[in-house]
Amino acid sequence: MVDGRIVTALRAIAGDDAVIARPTELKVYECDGYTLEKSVPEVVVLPASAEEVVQIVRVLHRENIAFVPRGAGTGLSGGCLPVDAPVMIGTSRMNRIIDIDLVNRRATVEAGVVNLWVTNAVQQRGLAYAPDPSSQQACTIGGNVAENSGGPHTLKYGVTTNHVLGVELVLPDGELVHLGGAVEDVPGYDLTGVVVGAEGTFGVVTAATLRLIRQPETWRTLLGIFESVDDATATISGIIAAGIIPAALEMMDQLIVQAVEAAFHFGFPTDAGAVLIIELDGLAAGLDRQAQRVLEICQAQRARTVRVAKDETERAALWKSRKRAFGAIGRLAPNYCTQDGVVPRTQVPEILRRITEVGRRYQLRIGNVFHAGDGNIHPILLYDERDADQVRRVLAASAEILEACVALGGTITGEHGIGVEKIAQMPLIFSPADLLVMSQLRQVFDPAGRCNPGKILPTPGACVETKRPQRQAAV
Amino acid sequence: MNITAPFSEVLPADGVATSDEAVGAFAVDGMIPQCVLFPETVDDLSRCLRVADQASLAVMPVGNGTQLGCGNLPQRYDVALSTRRLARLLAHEAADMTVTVEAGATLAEVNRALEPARQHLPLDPPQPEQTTVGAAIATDASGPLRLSQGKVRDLLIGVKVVLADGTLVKGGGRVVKNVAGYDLMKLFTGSFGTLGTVVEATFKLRPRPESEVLFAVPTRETGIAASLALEVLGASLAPSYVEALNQTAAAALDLGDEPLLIVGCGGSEEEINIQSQRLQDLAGKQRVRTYAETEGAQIYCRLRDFPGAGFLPRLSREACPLDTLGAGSEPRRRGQGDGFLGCKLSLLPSKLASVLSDIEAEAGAKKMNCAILSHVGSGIAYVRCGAADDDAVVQFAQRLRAAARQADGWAIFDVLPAHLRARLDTWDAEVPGISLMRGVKKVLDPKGRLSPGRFVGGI
Amino acid sequence: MSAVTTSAAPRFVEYEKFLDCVHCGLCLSACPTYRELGTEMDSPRGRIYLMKALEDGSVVMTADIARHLDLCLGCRACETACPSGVRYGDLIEAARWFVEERHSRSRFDRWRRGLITRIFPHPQRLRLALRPLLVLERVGILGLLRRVSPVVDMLPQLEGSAPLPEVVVAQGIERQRVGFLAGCVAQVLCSHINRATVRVLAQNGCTVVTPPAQACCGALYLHSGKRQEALECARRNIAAFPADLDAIIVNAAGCGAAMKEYGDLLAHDAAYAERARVFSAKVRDVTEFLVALPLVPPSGAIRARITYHDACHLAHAQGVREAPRQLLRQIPGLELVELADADTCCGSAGSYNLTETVMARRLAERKVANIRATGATCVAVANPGCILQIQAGLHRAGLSTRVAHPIELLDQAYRTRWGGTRY
Repeated sequence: MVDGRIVTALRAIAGDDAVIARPTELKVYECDGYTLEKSVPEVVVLPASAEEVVQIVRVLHRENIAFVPRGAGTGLSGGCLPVDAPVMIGTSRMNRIIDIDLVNRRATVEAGVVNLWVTNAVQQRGLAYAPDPSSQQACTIGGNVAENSGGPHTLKYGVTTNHVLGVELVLPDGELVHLGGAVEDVPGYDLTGVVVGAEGTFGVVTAATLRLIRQPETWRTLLGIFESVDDATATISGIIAAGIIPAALEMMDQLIVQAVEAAFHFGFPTDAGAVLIIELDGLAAGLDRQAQRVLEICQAQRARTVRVAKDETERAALWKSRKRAFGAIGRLAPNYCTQDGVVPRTQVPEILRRITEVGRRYQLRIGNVFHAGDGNIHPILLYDERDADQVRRVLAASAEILEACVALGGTITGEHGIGVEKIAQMPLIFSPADLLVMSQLRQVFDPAGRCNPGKILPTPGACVETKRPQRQAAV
Repeated sequence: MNITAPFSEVLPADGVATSDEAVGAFAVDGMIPQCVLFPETVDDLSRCLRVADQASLAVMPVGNGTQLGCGNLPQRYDVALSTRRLARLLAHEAADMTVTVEAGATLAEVNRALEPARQHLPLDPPQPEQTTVGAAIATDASGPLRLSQGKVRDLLIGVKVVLADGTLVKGGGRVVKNVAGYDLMKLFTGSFGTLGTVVEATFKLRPRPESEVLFAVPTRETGIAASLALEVLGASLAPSYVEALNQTAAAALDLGDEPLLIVGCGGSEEEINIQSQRLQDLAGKQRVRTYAETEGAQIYCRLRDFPGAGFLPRLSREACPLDTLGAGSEPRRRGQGDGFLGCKLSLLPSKLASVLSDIEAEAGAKKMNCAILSHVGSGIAYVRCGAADDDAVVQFAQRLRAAARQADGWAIFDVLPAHLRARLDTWDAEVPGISLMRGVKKVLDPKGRLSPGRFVGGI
Repeated sequence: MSAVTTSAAPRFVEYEKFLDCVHCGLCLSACPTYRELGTEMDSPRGRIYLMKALEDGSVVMTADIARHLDLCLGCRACETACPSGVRYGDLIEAARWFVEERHSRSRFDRWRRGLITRIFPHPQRLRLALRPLLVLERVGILGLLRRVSPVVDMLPQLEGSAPLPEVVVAQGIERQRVGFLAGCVAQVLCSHINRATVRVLAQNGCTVVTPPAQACCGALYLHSGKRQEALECARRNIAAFPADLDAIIVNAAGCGAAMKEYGDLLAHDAAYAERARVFSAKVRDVTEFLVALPLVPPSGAIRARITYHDACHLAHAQGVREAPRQLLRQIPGLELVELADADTCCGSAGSYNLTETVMARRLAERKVANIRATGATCVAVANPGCILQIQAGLHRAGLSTRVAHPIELLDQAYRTRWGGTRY
């Protein structure tokens, strides 16, 4: 519990306007992009610097109070849902780009810096920050580090952990450490690599040193319209077999295409079984030939049409359609739940068949938009949270889909993280020994278990992590 | 005390080696294990570790022993646990571009198996014929291709490890996108055998490029080669690797008598041609030498093997032109002017040119032979030097470390003869996060049985 | 815990309208107040959450909720960012009314807001109110007052202003016959922009009709929660403009946005619904109108580096971004450079800069810093409110950058015969 004395102490550290303690205001912090579970924090504090974070955490450490870090709150697994953590520490005011080193291609930024701002700051000089999740216009680098975020371009360029060289971290006892650094090889264990993807359970990341990439010389972006998902996935296999690594390879199924077309009018045929966006990048010399090769592969798989974007405007429009797909489908129902399973690429047709079957059985509409190149699927389940039965069916269907992913050799989360959402599924892929090691690792950073508790790992002894009723969406 | 008896109950007879020759091959300087174990299954390997645990023995996980020379002297060394007979290719999913392999397979064996599908694991540390997958992971080994393909951490997507008490744990999986749970792959990569024994690994693969060409540009000075390398990296080329060699290194690799910039390009004919043109534009008056196919591949192999040459106990003489440095096939020989040192620098690429110039000047002044090969884009430089005087070498080493620190980088001594190992810490003492690292060691190897004392901060 | 009312009559807006928001958060960094404050309650997503809770009755109006809603600029940058098509503008407008109903303001705040809505929409009253200030301007004292009062600081150099003639005939062959909204504040404080607009339209073959019976477009009322007064303005304007016009031209972004939505505003008014729909369909911002005509390219040059600020109600509410830029590019000699965060609100937001002076100042400072970074000698802005706000901001920063409506620049280019101008 957070009594007035502690709120006063937090105000003294961060300023009156940086501490939120009124119930009406706290309510807006009760969930992130994952709205199936809600929990109101007792106090939210918005520090403006790492130093303030240190002081805040020291107070909480002294008073034995658990806390949860929060970036922009765009996460999709409940990563910043307060679970037995009365204090929320928001990084939205730590939004400075500290340093950009163009020659060495490094950028050091505070945790609250928005992902897209990094690329915006360097693109005039031909550089970019590669990891580009669909929420990049709003999500923060701190959040990206916590979840090891991906995006459509990870097929060729990797995920967040491949682009983070070092982090500044406030440990749950208030100690500030700098892990890694601007140079590539640092002696010792790769603690930076373990902090990335730790979902905010090892402390509060206050800054990160990022790797920047050179923008490719040019792009060729193709849109393939297919009669069926099978044809589209066969095309993907063909492209890989030809030794071509596209920069991105995204697929949308019929339901998504219909929603996107209704919302944005891109000219997609609404009776197509699947649409593929294929982006090639690299040196201009030879790219046209590669694009031609890809076109031929599409046609060999009976593509109805294949379009090559003729200029930057058309390319931007194609990507807008993909990056806004979630929102477009949001127009079809009051709520949607995005799943995040992974299967080996070759198993994509099979998992989509199983998802269709699950949708039928649970009487739910499910659309699929996903990173086809790396088998990371995003089935989108539509529902209305005011109907308790629909909520139950969505939860059950989601669990079945994840089980199917694991059965096909995949995993339960490709980029959204475990959060609270998928704790119950952890035993599907990890043995008790595996989970024990992870739990012990967590204790190295957070011996008292006060930093973002209730995330990632099932509590020991519980066979199945049941969702606590008071955290359910209000019905 | 005969410690081998309990192991003989777990493994077949030829799985427990105790001959002088066998154990000598896995020695670290003067420290020789009592036996070398060669389990053939993961279960057997687990059982060996349980036996060792019960008998309170200190164990060093090894493959072929190629990397044993890097690290401080172990506090104790009872058993070498080799994964060499766990060398099976478990799965190659060509369409998914992943491979799952046991840790005892060498990198060359893995890539030979991938060849029919025209794919490869683009990890290229020295001596791939001897270096096992497990060793590459444990030492975070890398080569020229790290510039374009990444290091172990960028390619490893799943791992199975047996801990000190014999428990098998796993991290990651067989798919390229995976954020379930903590990233244990990162933890075990570069852990130098102090946290567990890697038994199985799953990697991302890449298609082999259509064709590959190697370009060489001679320059007046090493610093110029490094600066030119930076220009190449800033220009519209997409090189596979960009290397700078100093004169001694170039001579040692039979590439002439001048410092060199070497650029490797892969891809289609058009891509290679345009890059060749752009490189020539950057090189200006200096003529770019082009080596295609076989010849280029051979030079590349020499480049790749440079850091390892002079270290491997079973290195064949032909591949080792660095005799003059005293770094021949028996690096552990004492006395008679064989003071030598291998140092790996990790710096910001922009600082390489000046640091390398300083190093060369210093070496020249001290009359030391000094060969330098640098992966410029990654900011990595391998310095191999030798002199008759041990003290001179030690001083030089300290200068290197100071120069690295001043440039906000790191220097580790990855090649050390026995008589110098006692005088120099392989690692830097003040590594950030050292207390967290000790905490990690404490939870994964609470009794401190695995490669004790070899790592940073006495871990 | 929350009583979800979906079937009962709405408190201020149909609950269904909230359901478009899926809480994704993509609107956050598009919102100027969130970028300044970092608090979820001052983001569109947070405000929607609060409004939703007010509508379903799970919270009652409190001072802090009113505060967060008051701080909303109404710039609708969130609508541009939103992938789900949430009509945030509708939600906040309805909520403003609810705030006026349920929240008791301080006496000073009530007086200030009352003054604004009683004077600004009425050009005659505004002229009257400004007459003493005009005297102070001529005598030189107003300059001192500017330094003391942020409100006075907003005022531009005051000049006399006579109303426009009712009809201005096209030059040469008549291509179109258009109506023109002279605006309320703009008529008084920026009459030179109106005159330039009419000249340019005439130059482009348009006969311009400026009916004296027209009213304020009603935006000021709508954004202050005075819905009835807004409806009245809409009806008056629909009645005032002849039905046979090809288009109704507006040179103020806010007014254009308001008038394009008359159809929605009067959808439930049996007498006016159809006429409003037809009226709205004819409304054009002067920049989009000229580009589509197409524009008669000016021959005179303006040799200067210019940057362009997207007025919120032109870019976000109307989706007009390219047309003003295209117009500027057709002026010979002009170098147009992009402004960083061009479509982020400058803080004017109607009368926001008079009621929320602190936030408005912060936003003006950001805008001025970005303008300075372009090295431009002039910033083009297609909205009088923004012009006043940005001018005041530049003035405070000691910069002499000119602020002009694109139409003024066009007008200048037309009137330059040879040689061109440089400034």
